[in-house]
Parts: sequence; C-alpha cells; structure tokens
Amino acid sequence: MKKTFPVNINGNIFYIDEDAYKLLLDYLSQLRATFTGEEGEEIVNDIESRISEHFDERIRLGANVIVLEDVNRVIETMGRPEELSDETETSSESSEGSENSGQAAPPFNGTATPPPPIHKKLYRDVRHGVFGGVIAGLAQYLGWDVTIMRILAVILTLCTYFWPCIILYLVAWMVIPVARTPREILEMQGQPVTLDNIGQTVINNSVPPAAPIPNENSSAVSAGINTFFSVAAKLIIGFFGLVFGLGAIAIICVLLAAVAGITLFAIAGNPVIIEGLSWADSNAPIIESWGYICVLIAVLIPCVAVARYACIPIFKAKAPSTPIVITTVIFEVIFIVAAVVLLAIAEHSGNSYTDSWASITPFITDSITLSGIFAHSPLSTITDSLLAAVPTAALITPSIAA
Amino acid sequence: MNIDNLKSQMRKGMLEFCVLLLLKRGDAYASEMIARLKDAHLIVMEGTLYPLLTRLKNDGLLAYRWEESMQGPPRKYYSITPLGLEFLGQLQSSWDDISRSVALLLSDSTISSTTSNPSEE
Repeated sequence: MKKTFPVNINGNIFYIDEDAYKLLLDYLSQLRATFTGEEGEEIVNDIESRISEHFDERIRLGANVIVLEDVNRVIETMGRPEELSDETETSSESSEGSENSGQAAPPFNGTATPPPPIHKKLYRDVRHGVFGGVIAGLAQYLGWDVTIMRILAVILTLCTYFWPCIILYLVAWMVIPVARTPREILEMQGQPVTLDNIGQTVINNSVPPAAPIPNENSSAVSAGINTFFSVAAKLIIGFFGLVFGLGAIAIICVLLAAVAGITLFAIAGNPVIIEGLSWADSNAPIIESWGYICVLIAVLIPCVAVARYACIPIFKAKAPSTPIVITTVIFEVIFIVAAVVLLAIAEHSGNSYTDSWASITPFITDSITLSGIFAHSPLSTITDSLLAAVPTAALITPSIAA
Repeated sequence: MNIDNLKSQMRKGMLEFCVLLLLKRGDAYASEMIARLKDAHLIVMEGTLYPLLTRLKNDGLLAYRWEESMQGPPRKYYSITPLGLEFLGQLQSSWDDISRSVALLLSDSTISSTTSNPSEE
C-alpha cells in the first residue's frame, strides 16, 4: 500500500505515488540547480511540460497512477542533469568556435565527467541504531564497523564512570539530525547524490524502516553482538521507564496531598495544620508551599517524559508530536520560573512585602475581611495565600487541560 | 580516445544545424521535433533539446508562440526567424564543404564510400 496524491504538472493532473513524487521532485530540483537563471527556468519548465506529456501517454495507455518506474523511465528518456549540463557546456563551446569544437570539447569533458567530490555528512542512522542511532551514524561517518564502534563506546562509558559519555550521547542525540530523506541517507553513507542512487534509496526505503536492515558485510558474531546490544538497550530503557514512571506516580500523590493540605490551610486559615511541616516557621508559608509544588511539577514533567519515551521502543508506541513536545517544554520552563520566583518571594517576604501587595489588591482583602470567616487569622497570611493561589491556579489549569 | 564520446560530440555539433533544418520545413513544437530527431537517431536524451532551443531562441535564431492544442495544455510552437535562415545558410554551406571533404577522403580510402553521406540531403 502506498500513499498517492494528485499533482499538477503543466496543467495536467496526475495521481502519483509518494516515492515517485519524491524522485520527480528531486529530479526537477537537480535540473533547476543545473540550469540557473531566467534561461534555466524556461528550460526546466519546458522539460516539465514534456514530462507531463510522457505521463499523459502513460495514463492514456491505461495506467491509473504514476509509479516510481514511470518516473525512472522518464528520467532515462529526458537524461540526467549531469549529462544534460555537460551537453550544454560543450555545445556552447562549439557555438563559439564552430570549427575546432572537436578539439576543444575533450579536455572540457575530462574535467566535467568525474563526479563531484563527496561530502560525507554526519547524521543519526536511526534505521541501524539502538537508542538514537548516534553511534551507527558516527560509524557511517568514519567508515568504521558499527559493532566495533558500539563495543568501544561501551568500554569508554565504563572507563569514564558512565556520566560523561551518557551526557555526551544525549547532547549528540539532540544536536545531530536524523537522516530521513533519501538524499540525506546517501550523504550519510558518503555516496554521490545522483538520481540512480536516489531512486535506489527510495526503493530500499519503501520497506518499513523499523525492519532491521542487514549489513552487507556483517558476520554471525557481529550480528549476535548487535542483537545483544538492542536487547540490552530495551532492558535499560524499560528500567528507566519503570523507575521514572513510578517516580511520577509518587510525585502525583505527594502533589495531591500537598494541594489538599494547602487548600485546607487557606480555607481554614489555621496555622496548626501546617505547623508540623518544615515551612511553618517561614514568613510566607503558603507562597513557599506553592513554590515547592511548582518544584514538584517541574520534576514530574521530565519523569513523565522519560516514561513516555521509554514506551516508544518497548511498546512500539508513536513518538509524541512536535507541538506536544514544545508545549511540554514551555510548561516546564514556566514551572521552573514560577518555583524560583515563589521561593524567592517566600524567602524575602516579611510583612512589608505582603502589605504592599495587599494595598494593591484592597478589594480582595476587603472581601475576605467582610466574610468574617477568617477573622481570627492574621490578615497577611490570607493575602499571601490568595496572591500565591491566583498565579498557580492559572498555571495548573492549562496544564491539566493539556 | 573514447569512441562513444567522439560519436556524441559529432552528433552534438550537428544538432543545432538539424534543428534549424527541421524548422525551415515548418513550425513545430518541441515534442514533434523530438520525434523527428529520434527517428533520425540524432538525439538519445530528450532533455538535450530544451537547452538548445532556449539558447537558439535567445540568440534570435528562433521565435516561439503559444498555441492551443486539442488535447492538453497550450504548446510552444517554434519557428525560424530571418536571422535563423541566414545562419542556417552559412551552416549549410559549411556542412557541404565538410561532407565534400569527407566524401573525398572516404572515396580515397574505402570502396563503399558514398552510401552514408547523401542521406542527409
């Protein structure tokens, strides 16, 4: 089964397979790179309309969809960009000196035929990877064997007492991009990005990327070692997922208890409830406790994230979408900032702070005094609780909704 | 010396001349020209023609107009300009010279010489 979508080529509508579309797109962009300027634009447009005619003929002959094979055939008929550009250069040469073109062309050709120097690029090779494909990508980049790289990495990790290598790995994971498109995969492998190769890669890619792709030169031993690595990786991921998941549940319990306790305290206004806790002697106990709640949430979010990511390889779950990740990161930052701000306020606030705040919001204090329920409690504590509760409530409500 | 390379060089040098010859006979759009040139075994890759047409047009040897077609989008019909005709005349005389020289040499060296040359005329 393949994804198909309609494309408009020169005013004709075709249904085209996704892989065929990618190849065609790549072909046209390579043509654009070859023929530059206004003149080039015209040439590519003309070629495009010719391609449209070819596809039209295919459809008239009974095809429903343009498939990869059709695109490959069209590219074969039209000619590859490198051949065409060679063509233009030599013929423009010949148009200048019409007589001795035969002599002028061969040296020109000589410089043009060798493929452009290959720029290997560092990508993460997730298709061969264990965690994030960092080591596999590095092995591709250096041209080493993946198995040897992995064993070296493990030895290095053991020798440096884990953390430096783990942190390095995580940073590499974040910094190095994944090789997704055929072009990137070729760049990673250091193969020249020609249409032949791209077409081949597109075909290879159409097998599900989750399937293990056997290394051509892998022996039984290295295959066994690699399987061991992936099993060990799953165990490690599962362990961390479990630990952080349980941690998250514990934090949620503490959070609920803390919120209940603070709310009770705010309503009853009885300092006795909170007296047993360590922050009872603080100047602004409620603000301080909300600060601690923000700290808890700031710890909770990464725990949940780790547990969630551990589900991906183990349960074959889907990775969370980018908007969700971004939202989570934003909330994390908000809670860290809120925790810092609230704790700082709690630490520095004597009565002077809260009094000045209370004077800004006199209607709140008024309404509270009027209600008379809190008559016996010190006014500053109540204003404290309200001032802290408003921003935190504003923070917590969207996070629950999300 | 690569024989394929040399062959394609010979063909390439001829291509402009042949395109002008084709258009002298009548206006045509690119696909018609491609069909004719392919019949004559003058081009292998279709993409070769387009840069050439654009260059000839920019040099003022060709002009084009858009024409509606019965099937599909409008087509670009190329025609030869007076400048193109003049250019073609020069190429033609140059070609006659070349073919005469080659024919002379061929008749000198081999027996079956004249079979391949006049086919173009």
